[in-house]
Amino acid sequence: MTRLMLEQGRVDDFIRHLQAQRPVYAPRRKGQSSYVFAPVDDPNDVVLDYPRTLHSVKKYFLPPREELLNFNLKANSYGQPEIETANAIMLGVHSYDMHAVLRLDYNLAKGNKERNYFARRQGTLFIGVSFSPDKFHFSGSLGISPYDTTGFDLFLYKVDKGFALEIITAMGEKLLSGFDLPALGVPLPPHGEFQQHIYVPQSKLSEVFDHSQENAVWEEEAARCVSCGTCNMVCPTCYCFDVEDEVDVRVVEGTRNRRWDACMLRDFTEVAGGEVFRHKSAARQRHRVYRKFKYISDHTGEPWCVGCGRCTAYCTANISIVSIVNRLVNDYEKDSTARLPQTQPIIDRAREGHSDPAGEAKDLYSPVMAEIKSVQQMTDLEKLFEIQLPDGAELNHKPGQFVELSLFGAGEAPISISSSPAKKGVFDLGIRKVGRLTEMMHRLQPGDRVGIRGPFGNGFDLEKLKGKDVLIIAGGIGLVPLRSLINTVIADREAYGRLIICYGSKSDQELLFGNERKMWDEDPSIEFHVTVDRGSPDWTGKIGVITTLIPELALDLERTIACICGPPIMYRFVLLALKSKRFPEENIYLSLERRMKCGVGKCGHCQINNSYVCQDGPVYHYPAIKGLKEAL
Amino acid sequence: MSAKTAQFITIRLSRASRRRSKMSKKARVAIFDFTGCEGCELNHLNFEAQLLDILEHVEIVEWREAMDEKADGYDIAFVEGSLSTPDCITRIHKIRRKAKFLVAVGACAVIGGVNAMKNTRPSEEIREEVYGKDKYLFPSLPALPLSAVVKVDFNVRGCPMTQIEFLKVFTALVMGKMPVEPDHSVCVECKLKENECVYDKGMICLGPVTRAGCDAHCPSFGQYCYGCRGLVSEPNLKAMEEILVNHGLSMDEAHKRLLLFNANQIEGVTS
Repeated sequence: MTRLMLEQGRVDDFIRHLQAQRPVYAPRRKGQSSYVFAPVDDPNDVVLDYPRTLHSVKKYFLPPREELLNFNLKANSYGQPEIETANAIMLGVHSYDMHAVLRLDYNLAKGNKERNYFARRQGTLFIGVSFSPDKFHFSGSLGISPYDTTGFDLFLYKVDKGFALEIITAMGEKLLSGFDLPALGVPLPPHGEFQQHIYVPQSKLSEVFDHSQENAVWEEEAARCVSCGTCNMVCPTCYCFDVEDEVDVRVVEGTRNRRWDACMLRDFTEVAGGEVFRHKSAARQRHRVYRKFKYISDHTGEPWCVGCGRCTAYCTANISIVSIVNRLVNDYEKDSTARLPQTQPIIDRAREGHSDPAGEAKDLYSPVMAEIKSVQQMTDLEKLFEIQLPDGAELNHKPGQFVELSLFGAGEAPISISSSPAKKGVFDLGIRKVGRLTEMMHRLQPGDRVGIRGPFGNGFDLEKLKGKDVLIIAGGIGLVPLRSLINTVIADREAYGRLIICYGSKSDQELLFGNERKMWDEDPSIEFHVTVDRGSPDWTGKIGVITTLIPELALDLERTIACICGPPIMYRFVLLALKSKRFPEENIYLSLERRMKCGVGKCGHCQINNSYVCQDGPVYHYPAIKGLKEAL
Repeated sequence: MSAKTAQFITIRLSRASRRRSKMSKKARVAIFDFTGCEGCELNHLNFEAQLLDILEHVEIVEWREAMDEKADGYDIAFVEGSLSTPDCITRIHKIRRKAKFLVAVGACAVIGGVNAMKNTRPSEEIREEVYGKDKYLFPSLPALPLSAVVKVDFNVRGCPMTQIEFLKVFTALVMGKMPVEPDHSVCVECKLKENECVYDKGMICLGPVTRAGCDAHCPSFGQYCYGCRGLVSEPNLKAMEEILVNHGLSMDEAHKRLLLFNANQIEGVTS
């Protein structure tokens, strides 16, 4: 390996040589004691010896705030801002931040490859610089040494009187051409030692985290945590985001913007009805740390933390992620007889980098403009909309899937598809007025246009249902997605056994799909049971919560599949009622509600442990989520 | 905003629906003030750049600071100031009855503001200090946010409220959608701007427990966050005080620092 000597006195010339080829970004001072990456104007401003920058270079590929779409409310149309490829040189990047970029490449490509990120990131060249570990760095414990050159084109090692420059790639060599440097005559000095350590490799950490859900550390740290979200905001591997529409004061034009979001914030998982799925600060802290060492790591074999130390260095409450992890390790060792193997200060990495999953980067966030064909008022709060895609295209959905409904100015919301795929030309959305978007939706008329993305989610697996008795348990608007399944079964009636529908609602005024209920009730091939919590004086049907219907059902337990959807509180009681009937757990499927903001497995809001509800759900096989914290 | 608020919205102000119902009527807006410095109200007058655009959508029917008409009813009432006398209570009820939407504007109206600091001391003592022997001529109440007395539909927070945020709420109401009120810390916005942490400048800051929405204005200009926008919901005040103490304040100072704007939320609304 040839290394060249870049004397301190020639660093400015070196930067000018780079600037002549491409825009250069490098660290510079900000404020009293901080550093930030910024476009280089004067090479004198560049600081190559720095502990860490406030944000990593992530900000150039996944900007803190970004305009996804711009729209015109009068024309009900939208355009996309052009995404500029940075095509730049990132100079002075530390090895852990380079590893963080490689991790983002993986996340933003997995499942759906996001165009916005990759369009910006492609072609960027990276010049690394070594760092002296301070009291917060611990990247060595994650297999990333200060001299790690993975991902770089050129690398600068801090040596006496300047830098040793190493050429890593052909692109790096090309950058250097025309700038002559002498060879370095002496070997590299050893790099500085880390002061912070997690002495356990990822494979063992995974085992530790398997047993740490209930550890007292979560509550203890939560007592000191103010849930400000800073740890997420400064993390180079965090990529969750929120999306919001903004409209100008003339109410004519607006933009759909995304910004970084933080899973430590209370409102992160809040859904339109007001439910917060990780309500406690301790649960949010646990989710954050599991995201770094367990959930993604189980897929990739590597920790998803790079040891930059930002979350700890910038925490005003001095909460340390290293202390949390070491506490979990110690407690696990205490509880189990086997001691975990101690590793070296710089552990071996499981793999060399990550190749981002193949596939073409796609525009994930632009809706197609569809037309409302009809609107039917079902109850005071619910309307049923028939929607037609441009040119009468089919949605090609499965029962149980959802779409992201988009109204410019109000934003997007996940809405279950209520019609069976057997219905051609249009599809149905049954929508309750509960939030800003649905409120606006309720004012629209046939002929108005709305944005649609999707279908998203897994839907019910019809192959598992065929030949079986189908038991539908629907609470309130849980009937909306299940209606799609019911009508699918009805359309192919021979393929299934008995069809048993249990439907519960708060009151008879709130019962949905009046005409169809009558048909289901009269159809001899359907066993239809309805109950309401409170009946009006002329209600002659059953009164009681939905669980009161279950004991009376005569079921062939071996051949019945239960498909359940309703408000979060309903699941626990319905599952208890089924259990007391000895209903087999492996025959239960549930559709869960979460805040599915992006629909494509990126924004992070709908996550339950390592599962993205918008991708892996919303329909779950009960045994798969039975023991899962935060699921039910 | 909750589902209840969603149902509450009956006003039809969006362009689309107006076009459909062939309604040309503009939204009738009134502006009121209670106990406060009138800084927020003055800020309304600074909308020179946007005023014509605003007036395309609304007709201002009552505003003491700029006009002297008295209206019978209004679609939106923007109310500034806290409630601190029995007369205030009567007036706010009257306004609520006449308004379809009531928007609290500024820290005093939303959380009681700095006025509420007086709530932590005995009322008699304060009245004597201010009015001397004539104190019986000036009945006084603890300084209350509007929401302690009437239903408030939306908040425009801050001391003073910012034009950007006011326009956001205003635009949302004109569109007929509910404005979004952030429920996370100022730190989030501060970090989005990549500001150096105020604590790293050697100062203390209430950003970690204060509601965002100001785009971290003060920390972006070398100041610390005073907490004028009120606390996030479910704030961990004990942890916040500990942070302040760890950064050099005494426990008493830390507590007082938090009370500056948030006396009502921390000590409870006294009424």
